Amino acid sequence: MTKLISLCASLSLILCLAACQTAPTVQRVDTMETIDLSGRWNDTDSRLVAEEMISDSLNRPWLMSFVEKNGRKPAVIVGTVINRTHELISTDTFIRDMERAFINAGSVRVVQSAEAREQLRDERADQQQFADPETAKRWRRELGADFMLQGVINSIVDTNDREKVIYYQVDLELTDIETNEKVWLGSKKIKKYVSRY
Amino acid sequence: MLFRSTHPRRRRAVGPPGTGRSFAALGWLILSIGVLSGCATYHQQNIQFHTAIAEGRYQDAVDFLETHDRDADGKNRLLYRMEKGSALHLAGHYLESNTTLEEAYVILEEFQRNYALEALSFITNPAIVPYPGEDFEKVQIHYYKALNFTLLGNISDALVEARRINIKLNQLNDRYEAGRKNHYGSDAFAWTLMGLLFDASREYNDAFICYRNALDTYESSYSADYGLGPPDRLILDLMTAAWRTGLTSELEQYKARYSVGWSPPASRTGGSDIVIFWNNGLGPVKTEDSVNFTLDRGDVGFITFVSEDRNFFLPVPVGGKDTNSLRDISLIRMALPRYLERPPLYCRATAVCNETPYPLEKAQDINDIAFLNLHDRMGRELGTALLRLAIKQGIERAVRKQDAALGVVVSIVNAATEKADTRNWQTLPHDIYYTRIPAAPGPCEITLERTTVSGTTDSVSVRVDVSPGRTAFLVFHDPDSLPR
Repeated sequence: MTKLISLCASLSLILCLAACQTAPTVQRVDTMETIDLSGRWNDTDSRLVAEEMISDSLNRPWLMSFVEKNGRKPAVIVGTVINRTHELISTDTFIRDMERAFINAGSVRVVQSAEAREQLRDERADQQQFADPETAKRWRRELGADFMLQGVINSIVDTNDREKVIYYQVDLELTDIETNEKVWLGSKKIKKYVSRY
Repeated sequence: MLFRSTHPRRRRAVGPPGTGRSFAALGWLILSIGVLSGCATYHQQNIQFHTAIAEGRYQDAVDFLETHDRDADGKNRLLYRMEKGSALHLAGHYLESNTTLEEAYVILEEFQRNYALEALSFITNPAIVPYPGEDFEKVQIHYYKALNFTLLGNISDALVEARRINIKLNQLNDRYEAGRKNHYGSDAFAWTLMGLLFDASREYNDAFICYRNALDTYESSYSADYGLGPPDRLILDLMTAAWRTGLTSELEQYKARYSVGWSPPASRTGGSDIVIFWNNGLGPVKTEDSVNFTLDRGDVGFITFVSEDRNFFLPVPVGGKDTNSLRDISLIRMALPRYLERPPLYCRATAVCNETPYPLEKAQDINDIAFLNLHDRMGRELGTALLRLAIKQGIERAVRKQDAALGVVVSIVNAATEKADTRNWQTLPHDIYYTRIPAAPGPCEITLERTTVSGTTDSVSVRVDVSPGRTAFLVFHDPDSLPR
């Protein structure tokens, strides 16, 4: 009979536990903290690229040369960063970091992208018709960029059953829009080893 | 009964006279209730809904689920929303469909295994745990949601679904790489769908990545596993996306490798076109299969469960005084899930626009994926079923030692509760076909000419408005299946 009582007690316990379900655990973490789960491109990679590119681009001779020659800050526009990897990688994250660093450092002016300019021009056109003429913004006052930032992300993946090496290389280049001369080349390489043992 | 004992004396009641008969009567009552209420498969329990879907009465199917919402909460709440979401889509209620499928997505995101219920399932049956969804079903949620958004003209929200598919496929891929035996490690059609969505939003680089991953999956997995190679349309779109992104070397590689008659489109920035999906037939339904096992007591210390029908052998170590119960068993019958195909009535379709035919190509075979998916884990299913059987047997023995009559009741209850988990998303199509049609802006009539397996043809026409420089999406559904 003792065994039977134990059995019934166990079943009751299981039934009680079955009715309860734990909630998922969520915690805020520092955005600078490195958390690697899968080995794929993540926020840390984006940050590493941004840090490297910002530091390199602001400390190379192209900037001083332009200021000395023209007596003003250069204006930069971001072109396309082509993704040649097998992953969907948002390049916006490190490009935005770079734009912010350019503007906050006060040494480089940044011009809106082609898509955003279209929206702004629509708004300007709208203002010509509906806004108070004193506040309506004028045409042909856009800032022409001096340089275009373009780039490419490549990856090489080497894998066997349970191990993987992923190599990312991000190359950015700044080109003089008038002369097509490349004035700065930045590169960031990231290599990861992923083991599933 | 699940098993027969070779020792009749063990089944004899030894309790006080009358008590055994009462318990036996109670047992038969429970058994009867079990038979009447629980033995029907999930499909049979919802036969009115599934008949309405199969007959194309989609609004009736939606109405049925809204009035019969017992599964809206509890263990089947995910499945209820999957079925309702697709039924709402079929009935043309795209917003409501998305609301329902979003709830299904949230349920999956918050899904946590309930170990206590899983433990309980070992003494009852696997259908008592919350339905966790098959991997391919989880991806299909986003297919329907993306379709809904595109049909509502909301491509940016459709892209959210594309990104969710990406996350889901990454999770799948990680599990696959971790060494689990599973053919469904990626989804070629899902990659294709993502590519089509990025293409439609003029994000050609991302479209290229998705198309290339789709092509890789078709060639590395789908061709061998499901006999489904990459559609020509995919290769053409891949090359166009490479051309528009400026990936010249990749474009040249593909031109050298595939003779699909690619030529550069008129516009580098993208013209007007129509992407047509055709959801053909209905996917398989799960049913229950009885599997007979005989016990081979050849090796010392082991009993081997043998199913010659399924070519399955499972050695189980035995020994010690408490495991002799297994030695009493000579034949075991257990319930296992099995898919039942619903072969579609139609075998191909062609879209006709301005008298130009565009054959639709098969991009997804949900039927084959479902079958192979279940086959991949049949070993686990069998192992779980055997463990369940062993636990039930142990409980029955323990009870029988105390009270033989109560043991009979437990035996009957065990038999009544033994059944396979026959739940699956049953409104999914059998196959998905697609094509892309270049179209001038403005209203356009598309005729879908369908051919049945017996060779007869019929057609259906719809009008679609094409905006300049945009991709319009069009979906046809044909749930018709061959009679079984």
